[in-house]
Amino acid sequence: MPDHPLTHAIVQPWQTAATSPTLTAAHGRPCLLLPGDVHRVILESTDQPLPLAGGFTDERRFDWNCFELPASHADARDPPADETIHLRLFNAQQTPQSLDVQLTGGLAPPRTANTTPPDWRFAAQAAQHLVTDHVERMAVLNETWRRDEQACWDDARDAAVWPLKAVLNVWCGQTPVRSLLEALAPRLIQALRCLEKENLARTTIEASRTTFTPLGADNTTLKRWPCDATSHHDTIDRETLTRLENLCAEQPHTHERMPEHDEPAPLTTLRRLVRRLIYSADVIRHRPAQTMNRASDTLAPDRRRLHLRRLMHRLETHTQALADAWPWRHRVWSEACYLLLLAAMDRVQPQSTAARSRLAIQTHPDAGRLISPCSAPGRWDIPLHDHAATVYLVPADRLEAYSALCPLPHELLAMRPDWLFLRFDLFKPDQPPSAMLAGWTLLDFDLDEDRLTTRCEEVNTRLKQIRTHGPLTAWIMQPNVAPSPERDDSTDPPSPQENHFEITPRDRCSAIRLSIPPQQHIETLAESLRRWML
Amino acid sequence: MTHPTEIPPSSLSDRTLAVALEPQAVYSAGRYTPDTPPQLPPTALAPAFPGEPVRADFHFPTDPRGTGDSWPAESRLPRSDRPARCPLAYAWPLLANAKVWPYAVNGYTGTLEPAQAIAAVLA
Repeated sequence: MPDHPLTHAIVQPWQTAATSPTLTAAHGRPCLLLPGDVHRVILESTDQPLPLAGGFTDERRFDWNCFELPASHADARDPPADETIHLRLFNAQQTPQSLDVQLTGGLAPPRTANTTPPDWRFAAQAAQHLVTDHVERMAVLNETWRRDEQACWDDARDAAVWPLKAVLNVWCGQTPVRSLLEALAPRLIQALRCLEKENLARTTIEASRTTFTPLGADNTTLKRWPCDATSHHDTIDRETLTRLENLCAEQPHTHERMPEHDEPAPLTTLRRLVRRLIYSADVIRHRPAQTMNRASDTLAPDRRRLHLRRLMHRLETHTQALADAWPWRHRVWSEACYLLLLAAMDRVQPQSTAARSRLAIQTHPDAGRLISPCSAPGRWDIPLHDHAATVYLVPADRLEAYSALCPLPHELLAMRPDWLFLRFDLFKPDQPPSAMLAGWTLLDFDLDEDRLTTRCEEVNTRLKQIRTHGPLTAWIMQPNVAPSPERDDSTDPPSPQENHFEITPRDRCSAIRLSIPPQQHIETLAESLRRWML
Repeated sequence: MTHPTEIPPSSLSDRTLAVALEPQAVYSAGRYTPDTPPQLPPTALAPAFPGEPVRADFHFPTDPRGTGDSWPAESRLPRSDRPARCPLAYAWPLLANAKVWPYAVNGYTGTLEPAQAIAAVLA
């Protein structure tokens, strides 16, 4: 590590921006440049490593590694939120060093509604809707893989592997995805009611045998049966119920579209059942299996508890995934835009090798990403007027692997695009790509200042310095949730019907602003891609 | 690779027995329309990770695995091993001679039993 690492740490306000000697990150998608021998950076608050965006050598032949920074890590109260994150840097000698980075201009969760300016509230709601919707849709794929012959499970990656068509069908589905708690509510109700009945019956039997000792006046005290190897089950159901109550309580917050008075019937029933059981001590008791008389009495309750615990495990894993995705929302936006591009290409050419490709959907997000980085789609063969083209879409995680096979300009790799389209002549696959389209995604609503034009100019300047065989163009995709000036009541959140898609071509780099959810722009984007292919 | 203009469409349908995974031949044969995906010689796709089932592939566009395409990585042909794509026509003699199909895909190596390949395609 040259000199002292802290003097070399640089936070870039945006991926392709010129370096600035500061440790303050603001706006867009900041990343941290560190000397090349720092190979691992740990976020102290979560003890998770920062994703490595890539490495490069500058003009002075210094090696650098670039790590992505989260947008936030805590529940900031007042937007624009300023936070300081603490990092631990590890070099080859595994000597940790500390570094503090200040994140400014972040979105606060939308529950701080009263003191928040309307624009910031709209943006926070849109961002949370994006994160929730994306994670829920991916959870549907993770939950239903057993029911589909085409899907399978990859233990090594802890991911459900689906054909791209199936992934897009779920992601593009027009109907709002139910939350996992809502989907599992009927099964949870059934399991809890079984336990309730069983405990009531057992209480009656045991009371008649005079072996039952009633609980004291304090209902919160647990009645414990004689201990044995399985007696740890005595308290697990109370914990389970408490956790379930917490999940139910968080539900309206997590899903802004579902206020309590509008929530579906199963969720209301579940909420009431859990509250009743929490204050009823009977259901908590569990008699060890060895002391029961009949086999039917001993096996069934254990199976029910196991079933309940499995449901709870799924719910908690999913809730954790939602919470983990929020600080990495710009990567969620990037993944949503990636799926949007795949869906648009699928509209351009429904029958393709890419459609037969398979994507691995991970259970736990990797810094906001649920699609495994090992997944990459195949090609699209597009018949054009007088010829045909082969198009590849290479995601950021696979650019280096692709470059090792088919060299790409180093200057372009150093700019670290989020994805790259490559167009080849179908009948000349050995030739260099006849056109390239690089893309960046930024979950920046530009509430205080419109920076998209500046960013486009900056990318434009850098693209002009890159020599390629065919034309090299770029897109920058940013969300747009600003309420329209015609809206009477500015406190209303943006309506999901709002369909705003604006593409502003500027020489080589075009600026795209699109409203959330991105699924509504598939046709428009497909048309833009058709124009690029021609 | 053969240029499409050198292959008359009739030869593909009447006499050709070769495995043609490249779309040029399909385009030149004039059979590729979105509604009627053309048939290809049936092939079994070997798993790329433990737990993945053996799958069948007999429609164009093909599954990318083992097609010899340059991208994605699972399309590439390994240098030493066989690809993770076993033609049904080759699985029968393998079965008759009690041999297996060793393959490599994405750094994962395995062995495909010919009976598995035949069962996957005929299922």
